[in-house]
Amino acid sequence: MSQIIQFLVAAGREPALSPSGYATAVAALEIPDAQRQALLERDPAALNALLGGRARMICMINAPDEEEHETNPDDGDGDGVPDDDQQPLQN
Amino acid sequence: MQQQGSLACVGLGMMLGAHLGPRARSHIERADVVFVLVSDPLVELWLQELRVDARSLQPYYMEGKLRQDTYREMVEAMLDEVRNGRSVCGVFYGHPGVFAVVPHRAIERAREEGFSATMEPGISAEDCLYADLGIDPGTFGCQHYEASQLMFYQRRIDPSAFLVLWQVGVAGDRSFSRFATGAEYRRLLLAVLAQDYPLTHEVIAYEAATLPITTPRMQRMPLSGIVDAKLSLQTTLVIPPACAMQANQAMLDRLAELDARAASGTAASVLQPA
Repeated sequence: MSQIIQFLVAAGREPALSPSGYATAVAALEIPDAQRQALLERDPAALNALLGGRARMICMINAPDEEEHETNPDDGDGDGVPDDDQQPLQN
Repeated sequence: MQQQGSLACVGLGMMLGAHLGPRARSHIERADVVFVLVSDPLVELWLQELRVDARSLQPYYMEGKLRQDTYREMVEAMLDEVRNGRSVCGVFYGHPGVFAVVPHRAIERAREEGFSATMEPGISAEDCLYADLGIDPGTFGCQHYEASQLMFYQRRIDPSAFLVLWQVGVAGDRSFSRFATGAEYRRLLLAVLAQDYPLTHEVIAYEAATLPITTPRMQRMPLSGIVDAKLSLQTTLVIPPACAMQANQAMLDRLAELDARAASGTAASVLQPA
């Protein structure tokens, strides 16, 4: 597991981490300066860009209506799987 | 007869590293195939470190594509592997059963086809908002609606209870294919809400923290402010009660009658000789 993700997991389990304790823990990581700066600034967008995460995440898996539509205009081959050239949200 | 192949839809909770329960973790570690749908890219990276072969469901989303198609394809992707005899784990942010049609539908379909299918709950955005905003749903009651559904249908809002609106960032989207709707749509949502709340009533735009290095968004504003506020897919709108609960005097009278009858019955039985 990468040091940064490992650090975030550890931080997630440590609710009582003080600001100075946080800075000390970040300083102890063996990571590039840009990543360290993003952590110190608590800047998730910068961190994500540095780690190569997706630029955009969609987070809704609910619909206001239960009805299911049978048509699928975006999937040309009808296999139900998005074609590779139809994945604009992926990095 | 139970077929080989199984499905477990598990909740990851909202915050990276903080909310994953041992049963959900066990499913993630042991499954043959893991699908992931989370709301934060760093959370997705974490999952992909827990399981390097985890398959993200994000590519199924596309602006302009019917959400129902997206959801059906996500369900089919998971079920195809179940039908191949694999143990499949679907990992979803928050709670996989709260405002989440994909896990519910996948489990229902798997069971219909004779496969074992289970859901492991997780800490939802709802759970986080109760903690962060200091709201107890038991105090005045709490109503939850999908924002568009509230606009499409004639629902009865009780303004003496909390009202929580989900997916408010796409409120009013009848195309089911957009990732945001604008001020004009919110104006119509406001018209619905204004029937029960004054425009000056304070509401809260809430977003749970997904990383331990960030804080939750809890932006308070007058109800009229929702038109121009930043409301994204992550935003939940919380509307506190606008009036006091009204006593149901007729019911209270009937209950008093019952109490009196019970008391006199007790008194009679005490006075009755053995």
